[in-house]
Formats: sequence, structure tokens, C-alpha cells
Amino acid sequence: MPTTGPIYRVGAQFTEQLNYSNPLNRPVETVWYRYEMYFQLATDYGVVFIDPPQVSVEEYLFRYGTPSSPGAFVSDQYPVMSLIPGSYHYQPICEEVWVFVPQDYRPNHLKSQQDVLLSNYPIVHTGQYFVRPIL
Amino acid sequence: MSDALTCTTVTLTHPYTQGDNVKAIQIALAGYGYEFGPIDGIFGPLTASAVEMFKQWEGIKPINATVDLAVYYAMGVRCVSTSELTEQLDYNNPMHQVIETAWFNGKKYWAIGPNIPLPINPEETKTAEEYVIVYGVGEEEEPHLVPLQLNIYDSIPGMPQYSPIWHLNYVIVPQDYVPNTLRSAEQVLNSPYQVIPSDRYVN
Repeated sequence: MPTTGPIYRVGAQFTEQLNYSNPLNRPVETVWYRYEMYFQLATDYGVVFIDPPQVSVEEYLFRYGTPSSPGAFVSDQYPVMSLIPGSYHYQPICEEVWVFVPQDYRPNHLKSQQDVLLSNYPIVHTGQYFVRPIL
Repeated sequence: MSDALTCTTVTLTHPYTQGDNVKAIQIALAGYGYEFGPIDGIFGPLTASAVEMFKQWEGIKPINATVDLAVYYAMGVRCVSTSELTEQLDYNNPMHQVIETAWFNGKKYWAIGPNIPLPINPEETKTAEEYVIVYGVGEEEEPHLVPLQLNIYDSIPGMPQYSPIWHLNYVIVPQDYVPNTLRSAEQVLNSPYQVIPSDRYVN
């Protein structure tokens, strides 16, 4: 769940030694990238492209149900990102991709794009882009 | 930002003022060709003399050894005036991303963003207005930027019209325009300068 307070994360379990006082109270949420935790501004500012990027930044969001009958989002699962800043194709605009998991899925079992793609869970590219920069 | 230089006014004092500000001033002066000894971060008589010569050459009055906000700007030293700060921002930028400083209503803010043109549909994407102060715009829409002038936002997060996707507007100013005279969208729109909306959108 996004928080709107300051974020200070220092510790061996985190890649980022992040200090962010969040003076404008932006919503910040934790995401996974290759088994490491990162933080992004979780905004809902949508972007409609004339020409979508050839390589999109993908944000995998986890839902119960099926593509034909989507259920609730898995509340304790952090989103999984396909790229982070420093990657060649990274930009702070990502496409939402839904991953449909069974009811007995253990949250945060999947922590990387590779995990997701190897899981064989149904995946739906929404074609919806949002401005969500990694901090 | 915690690692930003604050534009503290410095001058020749006893004991001599020392610090990163002085070092930044010395680096700038050396870049302009002034000679004052080593770049040691100590504001001594030689640095003071170089400052006086710089101010005389640039026509900045009074001609003395004091470096205040106007002199920092004239030197091109990137620093933040405490009187201009709204955000008490502490951000260590662990991913080394590009950070833009911009004006909003006379205050400085910071934004993460690569600032590259985006092929978006403006009719279906909410955008905000960003003003870029330029001497002119070329045939390929390449702007002739005013050095040291920060761009100007019309909104910040929390305002209804805010969007992180910026529509660029070029504000054409004369060659004798003093950088950072314009610091708000209201000032831009009430100025005598021509505003040319572009078809560029950036994040």
C-alpha cells in the first residue's frame, strides 16, 4: 500500500540507501526489481501515447481471478518492475501488466520479472501507461 | 536538497570565511580566467580581489568583495537561496537520476525526469504548462536557451491542474533579459514577452 510520509531506508535487505523526506506528501510504494526492494511514486497520472515505446517499462500487478473475470488485487504483494533507472530503456512511465494468481498464492513469492514470466500464471498487458518514477 | 549548495553571502572577513561556497566561487572565477592562487575554499585577499575584478567586468554594483545571490547567478554557480526554498527536501538520489530545478510562484522545486520529448496524445493525456525562457526558436524548433534561467512550472503536486507531463511553451525574451527575473507563470503571462506554445511534451 502506498504511503505518503517520509521514506528513509537503510539496511542490508535494501539495495537503495534511500533518503526521501517527501515534502509534498506524494504516494510512495515499495516495488520489487530482481529480488531487491525499490521505491516509486505511485501516481495515477495516465499517459496516452501516439507511439507507445518499443520497450516499455512494465509494472506487474497481481490479481486474483482470471483474465476474463478479474478479481481483487493481492493486497500484500509488491508490484514487480521490469526496469529501473540506469537501464537503457528505462523511463518513468510504465505499463500496467496484470498477473492472475490463484487464491493460495503466497504474497511476494514472485520478486522479479523473470519469476513472473516463468510462473506460467496468466498475464494481461493492459496498454495503460502511468507516470510512476522510481525514487 | 541536502547536497545542494546554499547561496550564503560571503565576503572578506577575519578570520577568513571557508567552505564549499568559497570553493565554488573560486572554481567559477578560475573558469573566467581570474588568478588568485590555489582553489582552497578560503576567501582571502586574493579571492576578494578577483571577486572585485569580476564584478567590475560584469558591471555588478557595488564593486566590492561581497558575493551575494546576484553575484552567484552571474558567476554561474549553481546554488539555492534559502529565501527561495519552499521544499525542505532531503533526497539522496540513490539512482543518480536527472533532477531539474524549476520555479513555481517564485520558489524553487525539484523534479525527477529525463526531460525528453514524449510522443503522447495531448487530447487524451492530462498535461501541465511549463515555460522555457529563450532568446528565440529555430526553424527545427530548437530553443536558444537563456543561460542560468530555470524553467517555470504552472503547478505543483496537490494542485488540480498539476500533471507530471509538461507542455513546453517558449517565452521569447530580449538579449538584455536578466536571467531568473521571471519566476512564475503569472509573471510570464503578465510580461510583455511573446509566449509560443510548442508541440513538445516532456516528463
